[in-house]
Amino acid sequence: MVLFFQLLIDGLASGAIYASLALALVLIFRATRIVNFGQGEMATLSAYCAWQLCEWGVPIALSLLIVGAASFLLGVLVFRAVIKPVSKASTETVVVVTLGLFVFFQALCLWLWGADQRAFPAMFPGGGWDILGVRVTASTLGILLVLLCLAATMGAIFRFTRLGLAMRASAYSSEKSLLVGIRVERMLMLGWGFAATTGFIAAALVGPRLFLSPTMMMPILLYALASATLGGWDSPLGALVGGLIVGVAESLGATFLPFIGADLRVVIPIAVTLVILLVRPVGLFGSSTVVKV
Amino acid sequence: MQLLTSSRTSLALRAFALAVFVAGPLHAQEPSPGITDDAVKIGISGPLTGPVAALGAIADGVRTRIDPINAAGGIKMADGKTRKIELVVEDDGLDPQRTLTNVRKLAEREEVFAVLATAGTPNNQAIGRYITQRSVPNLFMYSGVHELSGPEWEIGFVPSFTTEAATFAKYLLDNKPQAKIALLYLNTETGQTFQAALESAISGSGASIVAAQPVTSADPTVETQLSTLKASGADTLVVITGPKQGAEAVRFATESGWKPTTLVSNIAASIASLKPAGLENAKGVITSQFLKQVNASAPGDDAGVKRYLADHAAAQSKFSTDDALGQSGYAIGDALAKVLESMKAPSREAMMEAARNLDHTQLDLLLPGITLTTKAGEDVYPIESLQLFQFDGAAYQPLGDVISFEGKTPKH
Repeated sequence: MVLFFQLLIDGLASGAIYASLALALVLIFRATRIVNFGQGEMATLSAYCAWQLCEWGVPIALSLLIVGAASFLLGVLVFRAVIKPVSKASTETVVVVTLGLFVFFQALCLWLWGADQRAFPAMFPGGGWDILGVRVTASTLGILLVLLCLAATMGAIFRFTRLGLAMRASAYSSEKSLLVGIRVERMLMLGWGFAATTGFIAAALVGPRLFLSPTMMMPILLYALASATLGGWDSPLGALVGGLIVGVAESLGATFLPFIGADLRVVIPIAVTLVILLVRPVGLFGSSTVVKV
Repeated sequence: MQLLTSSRTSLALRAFALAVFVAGPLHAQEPSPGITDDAVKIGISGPLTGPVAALGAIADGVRTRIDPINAAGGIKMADGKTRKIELVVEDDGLDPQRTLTNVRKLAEREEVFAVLATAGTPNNQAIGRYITQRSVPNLFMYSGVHELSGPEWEIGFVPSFTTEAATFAKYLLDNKPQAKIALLYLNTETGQTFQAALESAISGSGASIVAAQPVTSADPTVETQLSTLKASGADTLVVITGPKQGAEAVRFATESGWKPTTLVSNIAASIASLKPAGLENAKGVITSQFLKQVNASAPGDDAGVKRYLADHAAAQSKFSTDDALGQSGYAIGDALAKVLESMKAPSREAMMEAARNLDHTQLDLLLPGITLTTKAGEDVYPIESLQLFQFDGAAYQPLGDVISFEGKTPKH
């Protein structure tokens, strides 16, 4: 029984990692209707910059602040230079372009910093608590708390502010939004900027646990995509819950289902997502779009 | 149509047989490709990019050793000629298919004399057939699965994983005869070979493997596996994985309050790769090693280490001086030099003969008491000894003497 609860906690811990990237993916989808496969690698580049600043002696809080702002600019720059020229092209084109971002940013990190793994400075204390033999670490709780705040804030901005409404509108239909006076391009730029910053926060949260390396986000992408699909692509809170469900299902399934074991664990998020989508095609928290004819 | 095809086939077969008949005897007399009176061309295919780009340090390490040899005019070989070594390095991202493409390109377009230090077990398996068909030496592979070394044109370098398993088993039987072992292993031939060897080495003793969990390089974290291992009640953790998961395991073992006796394979135990897990957490970790510990700030008076540090500075190598992979590459470059020195003829056959008859050859970076020894037809393992080390929070301290399995590397 202790093992069961320990694995539940472990599942939540890895779920928090998946959720952090899923959150950035959902944000950019909500704001621009694009799934950015390069999101994790852009975040890795930002995390490297923060680590480099710390190595140069900048205090960690200051370097997080600087790189957070720089990440916003990076997002805007990527949008202007790479995404805008193909924004009218077909979905396939955009997918290939974001895959290109994935390759480019990973190669850039590899070229600048090499392949060795580094210690990313931790934001939360290293310790934890033993509750009836089950180990809960402070960093897991901290990550979950920050993600929850982030998801709630993002959800609220989209739902309750004029800015959020304008961003949703420009993502939904750029031509009609232009007609009602929304500055669509600025909204899309903001969306990319916010997503890049969110991605950086995610990378900074999970960096100490995964160790900083150019490929640190690569294995997570698959799980994050599953989490976002599971939670519903237009719900930040859904991404968080989806990530946690995937993490727990993976952790418990790999251990207690003997025919799965540790080898087939990557199947679990996909299977869970498939089942949920069969029952509810828009995901757990997604909203369906009604088209009137 | 059928007839036509088959007669064409038989014609081709006959032409092939004729070609083999004519070319066969000539082949032995003509000098091999890739070697002239003043140069020998060596190819390397290794992961310079991709998820395991850290292994690229091997190729850089070889270059670090070769550069000073060339600067001094080359290497004097046993046929009386002095030759410079020309290195051609290709990137394969540790993808076996690309390794094969690279080796093909190296052999056919670049016309290299031999390929060196090919990294990865699947990669060496992928090129095995081609190497044999073309009779290109695949010298000093960086793979611990030595069953590859059977064929005529291949020879490994690093100790077999069965040797490391036997070394770990010896330590446990001497110090913890009732050990309950939890094993975290990489789910490739590497980990499976190790697991089988460890099982057979401790069979019949009081020690036993009470739990084993596989990991793959695509696992984002391995905490689930570690929690399961901890719950098994084991008091000893043996880790045979890549550096990332090794560091995670070391951190988990301490932070979770488990604190088992932790033994980590030398592929994951270098100080550089344990650093992100917190060196405090790594205190007490035991590993086995065949290379000297290099500490650039306090190099001591070991002539080999001094030479290595000087060469490293002169070659402006990118890997850090305490990187075990770069050091392995340097040692492989050193071993290549020794083989070239003892070649009696400028032919590929002579190279394999030299590599298969090494007699207590010393290298700059091998631990005192560890040498390269092989014997054609009997002993295909150049290094068969390891020494145990324990991490004290700052450096590895030796734990007993070199443990030698010379001539009796365990099969699995």
